Amino acid sequence: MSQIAAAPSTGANRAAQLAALEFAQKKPRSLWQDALRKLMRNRLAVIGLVITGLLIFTAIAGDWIAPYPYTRQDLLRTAEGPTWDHLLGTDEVGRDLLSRIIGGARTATLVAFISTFFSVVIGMVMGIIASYGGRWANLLVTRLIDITMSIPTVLLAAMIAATFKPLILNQAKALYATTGWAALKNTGWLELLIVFGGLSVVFWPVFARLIRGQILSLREKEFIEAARAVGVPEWLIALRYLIPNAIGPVIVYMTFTLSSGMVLESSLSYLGIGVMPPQASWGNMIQSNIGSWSYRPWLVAVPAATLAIATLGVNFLGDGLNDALNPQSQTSKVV
Amino acid sequence: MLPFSRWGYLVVAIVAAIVLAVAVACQSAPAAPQVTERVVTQVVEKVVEKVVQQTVVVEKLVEKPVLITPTPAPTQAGADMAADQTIHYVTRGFSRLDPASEGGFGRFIISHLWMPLFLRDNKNNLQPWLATGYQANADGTVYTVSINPKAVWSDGSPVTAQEAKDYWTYGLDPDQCKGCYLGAFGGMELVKGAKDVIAGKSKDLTGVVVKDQKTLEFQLTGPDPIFINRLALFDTGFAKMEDVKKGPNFASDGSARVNGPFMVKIWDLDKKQYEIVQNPKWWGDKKPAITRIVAQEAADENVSFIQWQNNEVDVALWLSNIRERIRKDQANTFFNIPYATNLYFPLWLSQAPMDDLNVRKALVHAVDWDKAIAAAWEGARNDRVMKTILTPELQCYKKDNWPGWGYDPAKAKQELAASKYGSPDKLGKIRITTGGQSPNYIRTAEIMAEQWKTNLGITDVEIKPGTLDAWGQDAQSVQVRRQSQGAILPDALSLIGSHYNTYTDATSGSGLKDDELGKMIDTLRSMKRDDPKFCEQIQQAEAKLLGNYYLLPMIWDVYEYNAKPWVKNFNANVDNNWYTLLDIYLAKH
Repeated sequence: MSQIAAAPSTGANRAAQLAALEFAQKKPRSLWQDALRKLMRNRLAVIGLVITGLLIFTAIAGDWIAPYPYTRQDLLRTAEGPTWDHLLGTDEVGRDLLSRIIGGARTATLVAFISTFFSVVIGMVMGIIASYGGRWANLLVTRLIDITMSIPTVLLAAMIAATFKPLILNQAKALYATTGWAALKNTGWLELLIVFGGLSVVFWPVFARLIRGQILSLREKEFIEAARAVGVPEWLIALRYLIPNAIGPVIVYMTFTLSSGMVLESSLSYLGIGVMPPQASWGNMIQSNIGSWSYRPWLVAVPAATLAIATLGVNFLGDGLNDALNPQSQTSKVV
Repeated sequence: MLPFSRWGYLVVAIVAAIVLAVAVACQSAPAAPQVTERVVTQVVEKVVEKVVQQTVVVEKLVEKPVLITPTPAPTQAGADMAADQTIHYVTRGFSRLDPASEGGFGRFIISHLWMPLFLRDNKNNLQPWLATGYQANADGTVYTVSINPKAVWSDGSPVTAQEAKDYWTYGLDPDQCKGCYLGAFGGMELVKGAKDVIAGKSKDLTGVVVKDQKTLEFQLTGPDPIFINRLALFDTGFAKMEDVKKGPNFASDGSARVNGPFMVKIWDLDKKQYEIVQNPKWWGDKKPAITRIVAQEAADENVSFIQWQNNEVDVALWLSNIRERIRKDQANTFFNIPYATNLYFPLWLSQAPMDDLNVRKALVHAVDWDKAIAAAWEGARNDRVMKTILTPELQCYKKDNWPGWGYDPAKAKQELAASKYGSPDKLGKIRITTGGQSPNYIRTAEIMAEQWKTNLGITDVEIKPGTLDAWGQDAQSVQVRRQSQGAILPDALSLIGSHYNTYTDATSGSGLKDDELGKMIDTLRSMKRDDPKFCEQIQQAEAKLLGNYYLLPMIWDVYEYNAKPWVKNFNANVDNNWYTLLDIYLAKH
């Protein structure tokens, strides 16, 4: 003890004082600023962010950046390797592979965002009901979560596609017949919405469980007790304190849902219950060429690699967000 | 109406019989089927015997030299024989073994387990198999077939005519034989009483009469000059009913009795084990050299291709374009299965806008089929674009017998404009089902849709890969449905008639109507196939049928076996059957 006390020199004391002064003069950072700073110092997360950003940009600007319309065929140039005309080559019916990949990015991103958005909304509502609705509401929601999670994901998604889609499409058809609304003439977009919006039925339970757990935990914290003690109404406590504090893990899980949504879209399209040809989907592209993987490998490898990179990128971002938003994370050291 | 007098027939018959007998006797190859020689003798005897009693029978026997034409002499197995005579065979998948339910991949062997009465060679000539010969009456309504007196089951019991009748009655009855094709393939429904059995109204196949233990008489509802050819179909082999009653997988454990040269050791769909061995009680004179066939499934043909390249398999049957890689440098390993098939998209004429002939014509003429098929089938079917129903394999095939067929976008536009719909936006949604997940079908549909868009301005087209069920409640409104037809019986009229019957059948809902064509086909049914006017008339019928533009063409598919060069004497017939199996041997390699 005496050795330690003797060790600091006068210079070190001055440095510590300066640092303390500097700290005192600094503007205090919010949790989010701190998280962003941590995120940007995580190399893998930055790579993930770039990939995700690129994916979103491609999805939005696809029509402008694609060299050709993704359905245009050139039957005299089928299954060609990369050339200056077609940087990734052409597919089995002479469509530009790069344009198909870009078209597929739009499908994947759209599906991922639609399914994640609905999952979060449903999950949050159910989570709040479970945590605030009393014993019976809690019991009902948690059992519903258990049941939903016990059904295989792909099977559930396929069931939704097979059962609900025809019903809704028939309603849309009837509506078109009576109203003549142009938006209902071609129901392709509606099919996409049903099938992939249906994926939210698969994903919501995780969000509901996450929100419920967070709220139940936060409700016992001192700052919530304090708010309650000064008479803040419960709904305001939920809105002002609970949800913002619970949102961190939800954001982290959203990224994982995004990547799961992409993979599931590809899986369903691969199985023939997702996106229908000639629409572009990475899963479709893999499916239609899987039989020729040994002699036209690039037709499978390009969409598969794109899917892998996109999924990996979004997952990197998710991991980085987890590290940034969760101070207790074991992996919060900057890579 | 006979062209010769009775004595004329006698002379012709005797001369023909002597010539044939001499020809057979002069066959130097001892491996020529001995059973054939015996048939010759019997036929000669019958000719002499029947000529005296009934001139017509002699005519039939003489007119059917197919029964006594020996197959070309195979290479003799000798010093080059390998020590292990096991064939390793790979294909995509198998289903249960039962002649009446056989619909696909068991065809390679089923006729060597449970023998049909006759067997076809690669040129569709009939050879004696379980039966030694037949007789027919003058108008082709009664056929009498003799089962080989030496035929026994693998338990040693004799093969009887009654067993054949019992099995066929079972095979036709949909209540007993689930998932069976005997009533659908080949024309057993022509036998008296068969339609009632198929409809569940009767349990007695009255048209099959057991004359004695080894003789069957077939009484038909009408004349059928090619009925005997129907008795060479793989589905007409028969198993013992005691075995069949054990259940649909009665042949899986190897206990089922057979009457052919081979028997099942194991055929287990769950364990994926398939093995065929020699029947120790095989009664034929010629003994097979092959001792064992080990079959295996490979759902991914890329995998079986690697096995082939590594010489892990001797024989393979692929359905995808994977075989095109072999064709380049191993062309001598291909053995064509002379099976005439049509793969196409029939149009549902009962659904708008396909009810208008001009729309249908426009849809056909707006697609460059040669390029479409080349792309969709990766160049492997360039010379097999379905430009007619009859394929080059069939009698009476006439090139370009589809009136007005061809790619002509300008004409297509005019036709669409001349239709009652007038313009593409009035057509409504065109729905296409690919009838399966085959990439080739999906690609063809995608190309059609794109060319309709480019050439006709049609944009409202929806494609769903998979079966019709994928459309759910919209299934009945699908106007373009991928289907196929094949000449299981290698007969031009059968294929044309099958198209006509399928798409005029009210229950199918496809809505084709052409009564005049129906009359033409009815007239053709009783015509002899060697009638000089037969081909001319069937070509007229084909042109009339195609003039309805009731389908969008795809291809005449090609099926082939690949056998390694050391598999000697390999060949396949229209049934996918290794009909030369008794002559096949593996050479040292």
